[in-house]
Amino acid sequence: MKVWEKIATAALVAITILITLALWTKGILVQFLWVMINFTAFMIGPISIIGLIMLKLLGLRGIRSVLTYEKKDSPVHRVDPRVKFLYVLCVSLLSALLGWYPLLIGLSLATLIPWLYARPSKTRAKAVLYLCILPLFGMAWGQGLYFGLGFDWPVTIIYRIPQLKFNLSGTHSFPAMIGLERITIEGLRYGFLQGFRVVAVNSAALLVLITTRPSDLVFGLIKMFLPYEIGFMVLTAIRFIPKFLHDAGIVLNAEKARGLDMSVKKSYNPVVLTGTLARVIRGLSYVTIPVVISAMRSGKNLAVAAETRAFRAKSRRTYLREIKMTRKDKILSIILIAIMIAGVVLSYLGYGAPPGGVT
Amino acid sequence: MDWAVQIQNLTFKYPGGEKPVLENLNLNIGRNEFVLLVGPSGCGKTTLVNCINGIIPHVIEEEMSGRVIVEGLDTTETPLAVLSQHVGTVFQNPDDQIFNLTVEEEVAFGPENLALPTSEIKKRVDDALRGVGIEHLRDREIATLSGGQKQRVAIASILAMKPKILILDEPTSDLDPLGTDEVLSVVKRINKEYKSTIILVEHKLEDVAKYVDRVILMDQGRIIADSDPRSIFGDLELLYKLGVRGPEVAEASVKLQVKGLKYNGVKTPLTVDEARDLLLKNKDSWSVKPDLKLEEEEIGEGDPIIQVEDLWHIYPNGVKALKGVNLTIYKGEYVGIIGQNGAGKSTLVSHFLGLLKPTRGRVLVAGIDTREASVGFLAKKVGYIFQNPDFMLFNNTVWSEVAFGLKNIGLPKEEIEERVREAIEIMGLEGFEDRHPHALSRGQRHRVAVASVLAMHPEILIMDEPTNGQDYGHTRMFMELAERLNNQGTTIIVISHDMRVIAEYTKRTIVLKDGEVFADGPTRRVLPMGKLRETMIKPPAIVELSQSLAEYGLPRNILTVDEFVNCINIRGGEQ
Repeated sequence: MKVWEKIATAALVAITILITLALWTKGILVQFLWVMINFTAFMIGPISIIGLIMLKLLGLRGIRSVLTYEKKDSPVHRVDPRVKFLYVLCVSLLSALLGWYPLLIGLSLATLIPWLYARPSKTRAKAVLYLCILPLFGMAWGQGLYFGLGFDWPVTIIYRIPQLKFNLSGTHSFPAMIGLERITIEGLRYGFLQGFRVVAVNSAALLVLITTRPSDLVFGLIKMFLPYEIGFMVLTAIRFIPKFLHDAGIVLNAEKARGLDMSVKKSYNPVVLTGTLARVIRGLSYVTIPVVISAMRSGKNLAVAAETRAFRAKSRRTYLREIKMTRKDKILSIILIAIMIAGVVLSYLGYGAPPGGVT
Repeated sequence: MDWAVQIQNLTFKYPGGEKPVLENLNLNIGRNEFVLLVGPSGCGKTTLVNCINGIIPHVIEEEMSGRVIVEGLDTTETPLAVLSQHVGTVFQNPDDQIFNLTVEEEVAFGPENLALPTSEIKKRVDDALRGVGIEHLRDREIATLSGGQKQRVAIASILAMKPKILILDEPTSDLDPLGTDEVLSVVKRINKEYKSTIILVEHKLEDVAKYVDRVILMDQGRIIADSDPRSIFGDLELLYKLGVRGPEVAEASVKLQVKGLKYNGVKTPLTVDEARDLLLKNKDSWSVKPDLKLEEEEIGEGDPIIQVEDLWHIYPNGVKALKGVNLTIYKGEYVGIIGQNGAGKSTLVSHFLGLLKPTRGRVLVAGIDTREASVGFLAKKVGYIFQNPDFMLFNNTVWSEVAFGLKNIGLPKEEIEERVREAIEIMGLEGFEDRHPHALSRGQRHRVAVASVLAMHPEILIMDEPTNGQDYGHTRMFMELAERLNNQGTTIIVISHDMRVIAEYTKRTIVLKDGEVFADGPTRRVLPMGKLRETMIKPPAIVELSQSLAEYGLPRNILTVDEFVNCINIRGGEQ
C-alpha cells in the first residue's frame, strides 16, 4: 500500500466510525443496516447474480465467441438468409400481436423446433438457453417491484421493503425514492408471462446469428435492400474485429512491459480498489492511440488494394455464389408469410387476446 | 521492341516534400521479364511501382510529370479498373489487402467487381487457386491461414484479374522463412507458366537473386544501376555504398577474386551449387589455410539471469505452445532464438516479462519467480522491443513516451529527466522531444520505441524480429547498438528469422520446434547442424557452401563470409 492509500483508508475508516456513532446515538443504527441489507438484496443482488451466472457459464471470452456463426451443415444452415430474416420478422410480429400467455408460451416452444434441426454445439446451446431464459426472470423481477406502482390497482403485496424516513424538504424515504417499495404477486406473474415475448424473439434472432455465415447475412441484406458498398463496409469491419482485439492485446502487453501495473490485487479496501480501477482505466485509455492509428493505416492500404481490384468499377456487380431460393426456401417463405397474414387478421378480429381482456 | 512497361521522364513529388521522390526516371521493361527492384528504404521503389500500377495518379492524386505506358495504355488516361486487368499488385501485409472471410470469396472479389458472368468467375477462381497451389484451401476461413498461405491467397486474387504484369511490393517482409519460400516459388512459377512480367520489390535478396532476369538498383529517386543479377551482385562497392547486401556466395566469390582468385570467365555465382562448381573448377589456384580451428563460444560463464524450468504453456483454446522447456540464460550472453512461426518463440519470451504465466513449471528472472515478481520489478530487469514498434507508442510526445516506463517504476523527477535525455541522445532523436511519436517516419518511430526501452536501463534486452522488413543499413544500425550494449554487460536475446543476423551477431542459438527446445548451444555449433533441416530452417548460404567443401579441408563451422574468405589461401595472390 502506498502512503496516500494509507491516509485515504484511515480517513474512510474514521468517517465510517463517525456515521455509525451518529446513527447509534440517534437509535436508528439497526434500522439503517436492515434497510441497506434489503436495498442490496433487491437492487444490486439480482444484477450481480445475472452477471455471475453469465461469467460462470461462458467465461469472459466466451460471450464474444459463443454468439457467432458456427460452421455446420444442417437443413437450417442451408436456408436462404432472406428466409431467415423473414422468420425473425414473423416471430417478432406474432410475439407482439399475441396477448394470451398460453399462446406466447406456445410460440416460444415453437421456436425450439428449428434449433433441434440446427444441432448447435453444447457451449452455444448453453449460452442460447441462458439468454432465452434470462428475460423471464428479469422481467418477473422488474414487474414484481414496479407493477402498478403509483396506480390504484388491486395488488397482493407479498413483501414490503423497509424504508428509512428522513426529512430534508418534505418527506422522503429511501429506497422508495427509486421505486423499491414492495413486491406483488400480480407483478411477478405478469412480468414472467410477458417475458415469453422476448424469449421467442431472442431464440429466433440467435438462431439466425449462429446458423448463418456473416457474409451470407450481409449478402442477404444486399439482395433485399442494402447498397453493396455499405454491405462491403460491414463485412470488412467484421473481418477486422479480431485484428483490433489482437492489436489491443499487444498494446496492453507493451504497457505492462514498461512497468504499468494493471493487475487486480485481491483487496477489500475500497481505496485500493478505486486506485486499481483508475490504473486499469488509464491503461485501457492508452490502447486507443496505437490501435486507431494502426486501423487508419490498414484502412488506407485496404482502400488502395480495393481500387486495384476494380472495386465499384461497374455500376452492377456479379457474384460467384448467387444466393438463390430453392424450392424448399420458397415454400418456407410462403408458409411464414401466410402465418404473418393470419396472425394480423385473427388478432384484428380479436383472437389471440386473453379471454376477458386481462393477461 | 514490344515493351510491357515504358516509363519516360517520370518525376513525382509528394506535397510538402522537399525533393522529388522520383526524378526524371526512364525505364523499359520487356514482356515476361522477372525484374527485381532493390534499394534502401525511402529510395522510391514503392513510389515507382505505384506509378506503374496506376495508384499514382488515380488514388494518390498528386502532380506527376512524364509518361508511364503499361501494355500500351497511358496510366494517366486509363481508368484504374481497366489498368487493374493489365497490372496487378500484391502488397506487403496480407491482412491489409484481403477483404472477405473465406478464400474463395476473396479470389472471386475482383472478377465480381468486373461484373463477369458467373461461369467465367468460377473458371478464373479455379485457375487462380491452381496457379498458386491452394485449391485445398478453397473453403477455408482466411483467419485460420498462416501468413504464407494468406499471401498466396492475395496472389491468387490478383491472378484472377488476369494481369499480364504482376507487381509484388515486399511480399515476404511479414513472413517467416517457410512462407517466404512458399511465396517466392509461386512467383517464379507464375513467371514461367503464365508468361507474366514480374516486378518484385524485396529485401531478402539471398532467396530471390537466383530467380530474376534483371536487377534495378535505386537510390534517392534515381536508377543507379540496371543489369543482370550477376553483374549487380558482383559489384560489392556499389552495393556497400547503397547499404544493400547481395547473396553471400556472390560476396564470398568476389572477395576471393579480389584476393587474386582467377575466375576463368565464369561470372558471379548466385547459388551454393554455382559457387561450389566455380571453386572446384579452379581448385588448383586455392587451398585451405592449414591448422584452422574456429573456436566455439563458452556457455555458462557468469551468473544465471533467466532460468526456465520445465515450462509448459497451454493457451485457453487448448494449443500447447510450450512443452517442457528447460534452459538457463547467463548474464551478459547474446542469444538468438530461432524457429518457424508457431514454434513458441514469442510465447517463451513473454514468460520472461511475466506477460504470460506458466501453465506448469516456472521461470526465474534474476532469481525471482515471475509469478511472484511485480510488474515494476520485471519492467526494470527486462526490456522488450516488440515486432511492430508502433504498438509501443501510446503517448503524445516523444519525451513522455520515453519517460512513461520511468514514471511507472516511480523514479525521482531528476533521474527521469536525465535518463530520458540520455536515451534520446543514444537514439539520435534530439529535436524531436515534443513531436507526436506517430507523426514521425517509420525508422524514427522504431528508434523512439527503442529509446523508451533503453531508458529503463534493462539488464536483459529482448528484440522480437528487429530486422523484419528493414534494409541492411537499418539492420546494421540496430544490431551494432545491441552489440555495444552487450559489451557493456546487457544480456541480449534476439528472436529472428534472419539467419545472417543470427550467424554474425549472436554467440548462442536456441532452436525451438513445436514448443520444445530442438537445439541449444554456441551459434557456431548449432547453425551448421545437419538436423536443423528438420525444423525447415535454412542455415546461411555460406554455411552450406563451407560444408559442401568440407572434404577439401574447410572447417564445417564457418558462419560468415569474412570467415570463409579468411580460411582460403590463394596461390600466387596476396596472402
